[in-house]
Amino acid sequence: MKRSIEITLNGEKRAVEVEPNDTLLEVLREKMGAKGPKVGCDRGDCGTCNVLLDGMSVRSCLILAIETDGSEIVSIEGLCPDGPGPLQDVFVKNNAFQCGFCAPGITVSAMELLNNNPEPTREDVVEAISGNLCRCTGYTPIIDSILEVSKKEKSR
Amino acid sequence: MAIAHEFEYIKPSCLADAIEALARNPGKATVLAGGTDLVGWIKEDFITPETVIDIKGLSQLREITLDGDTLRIGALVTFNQLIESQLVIQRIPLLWESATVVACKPVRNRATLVGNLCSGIPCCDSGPPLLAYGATIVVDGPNGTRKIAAKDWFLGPRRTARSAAEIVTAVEVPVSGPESAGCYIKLGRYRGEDLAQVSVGVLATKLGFRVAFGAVGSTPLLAPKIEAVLGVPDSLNEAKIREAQELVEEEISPITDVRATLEYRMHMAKIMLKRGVETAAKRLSGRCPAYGTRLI
Amino acid sequence: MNDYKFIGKPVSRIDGLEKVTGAAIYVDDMDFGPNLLHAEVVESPHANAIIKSIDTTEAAKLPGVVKVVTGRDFPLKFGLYMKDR
Repeated sequence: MKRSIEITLNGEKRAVEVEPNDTLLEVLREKMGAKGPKVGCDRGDCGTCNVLLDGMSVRSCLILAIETDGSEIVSIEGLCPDGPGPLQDVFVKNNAFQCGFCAPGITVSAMELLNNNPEPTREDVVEAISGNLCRCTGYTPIIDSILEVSKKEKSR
Repeated sequence: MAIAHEFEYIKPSCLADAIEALARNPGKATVLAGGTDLVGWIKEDFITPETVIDIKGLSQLREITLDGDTLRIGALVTFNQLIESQLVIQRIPLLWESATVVACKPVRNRATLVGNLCSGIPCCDSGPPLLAYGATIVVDGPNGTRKIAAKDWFLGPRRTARSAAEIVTAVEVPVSGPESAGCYIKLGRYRGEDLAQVSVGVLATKLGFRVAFGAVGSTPLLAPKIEAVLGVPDSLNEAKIREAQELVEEEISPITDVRATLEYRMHMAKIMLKRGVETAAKRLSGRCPAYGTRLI
Repeated sequence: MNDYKFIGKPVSRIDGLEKVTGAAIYVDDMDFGPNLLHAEVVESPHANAIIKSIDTTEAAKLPGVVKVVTGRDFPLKFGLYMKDR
């Protein structure tokens, strides 16, 4: 039975019709135009579907859209609404991503970390992205970039 | 279409309504909290509920409270909340340590301790610590409230003592008694994602040890023979630990599955038992390593 | 002195920015409209065998099936492995 719900997506209040069995990931991608979160494993293991729900990173593939009525969701597209932020610039500078499929999910995880812990240790960074699978890079340039950004922010 | 199965969704605003909805559809309705297990199961048609009852509107279930001798963890408390709770870090650090190794941050932000308990999977990370602490699971249903001891909770793989018409509302952990320290060690194939291949939870007080294993039997289980042999932390020595390790084969019954072989699990359980016991004893006398240190 | 434009200088990936902002478009992100057909490959269950016949009549009758194609529909063969080795 279709129901109309209201989600604030990337700062914008949007109404959308959903069935109870629509996942949040599907609704974001197919009904709300947010293609940034990806369908990777679609079972919560790979992290490509990560979004921020009321400020916390979540697996949008394991959430029913209808559960998020009234919530605030930020996807990769909305992380830095005024253009690429320092984290994204450093990722590009350091060639942190290759195919880039994991980038949206990892960037969401990294932003959550930096929002909560502006001076993470290397171990903190590894833990923060431990739920994101990357097949291309071996993770090192990604971890280095997140640490570099946190140090840059610190020295401001 | 990620989920082929169709169902109704309701979000009751009070516990009585949730219980009534569950009772109205015996066996055909399921409770939804974090959904990190449930949504995946529905996707695989592993379960096919006609009604999904979202209990996230029951805000009174989101609390961690200390009530005299009892630390009460509400059914909606997430693993992330457990990790951030000073009460949990200070009073029940064994449970805290187990929370830190559940999956990864995005899962811990949603997954609930109670949901993990209700999954009843033999490798659930909530099992060994709550067995070691002698916790109680509080269940509400059409016939009122009842309390189930953790040791009576797990009946078999994916089977718990909760009946289909009942909702778990809290877990109660006793925090009176002598000072305790613990150690939870989880072996997995890779970090941030995996279910335990073997896990061990050890609780030490001056009166002795509680030892519980996960992922090496049809349920998480206590190891009373091992506990008896270990004695008290003050007189712990290499010989007792070796004797305890020899008893592992009598206490656990691992199987071979996609994550590990029987032989590997048996082998690792003995190593982890030793590390868990030694670490819990060290922590009881105030020494390192800090909770959260990876020991395997 | 390095007068080169690229040699010896760091070069950013041409689509790096799109990838880290979620703007990069992957095949699954593309919208081909409601008339997009989906194909499923049916593989041989045998590692080493000779095709004697393939009966597609029942498959073609299934609701939603637009067409069933086999190797016979492609008279021109090309590729790396043209001979059975």
